[in-house]
Amino acid sequence: MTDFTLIVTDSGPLITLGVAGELDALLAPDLPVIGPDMVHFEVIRDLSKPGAQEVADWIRSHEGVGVRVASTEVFEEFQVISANRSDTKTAGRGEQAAAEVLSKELANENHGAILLFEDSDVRKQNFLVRLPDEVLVISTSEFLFGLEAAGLLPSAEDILQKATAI
Amino acid sequence: MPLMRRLAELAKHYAGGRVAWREIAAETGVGFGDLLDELSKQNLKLPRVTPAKRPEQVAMFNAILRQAVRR
Repeated sequence: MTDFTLIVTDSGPLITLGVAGELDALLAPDLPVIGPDMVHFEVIRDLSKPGAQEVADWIRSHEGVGVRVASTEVFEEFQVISANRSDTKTAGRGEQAAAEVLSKELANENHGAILLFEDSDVRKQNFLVRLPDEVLVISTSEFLFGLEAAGLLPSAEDILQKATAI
Repeated sequence: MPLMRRLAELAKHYAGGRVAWREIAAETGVGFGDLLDELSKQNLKLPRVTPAKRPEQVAMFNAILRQAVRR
């Protein structure tokens, strides 16, 4: 029996659900939810941005109860570099942090993972080609429509519409 | 080109599936919320992509969801 974890690989899914006010959808599959610290930082570094405050509040209220922000060496390295260069970009580091988190999860026996991506990025991830069988790559829309089909969500379409009705 | 004008242009390409979010982030440095805001202003939709899966992976996802329904 494999134990699965839902790993949120980018700020896109979090912000989409945050703007829509539907972050609890991440809890619907009843799996532990992990967001790499790098992705968490990307989301909360400017709380005035759409969805950022909602994500920060949601993580704070659920952390330790099914939701975890995972520490990564990628983020540690970013902090060191950005301390000396304030213009250090975060682009690409969220993906690297997610790969690091995935690697740690798979090091546990009988562990698998669902990797949740922002839709347009799901085709562009370099590390996907090396993924083992117990890892599932899924886009945000596919995740939501899957929940709807299983009866765990009333309407995926409504959520996606709300995300672009700011 | 000013940033917001460029973002407006990129948002159209993004909604049409011609550019990915990570490329927009790398070029402009904006957050995903800014992109959603731009999509909203132009009445554009989020792109939808379903990555290819093997049948056993589809079955795995469905089994996870079925188990969640039962709990």
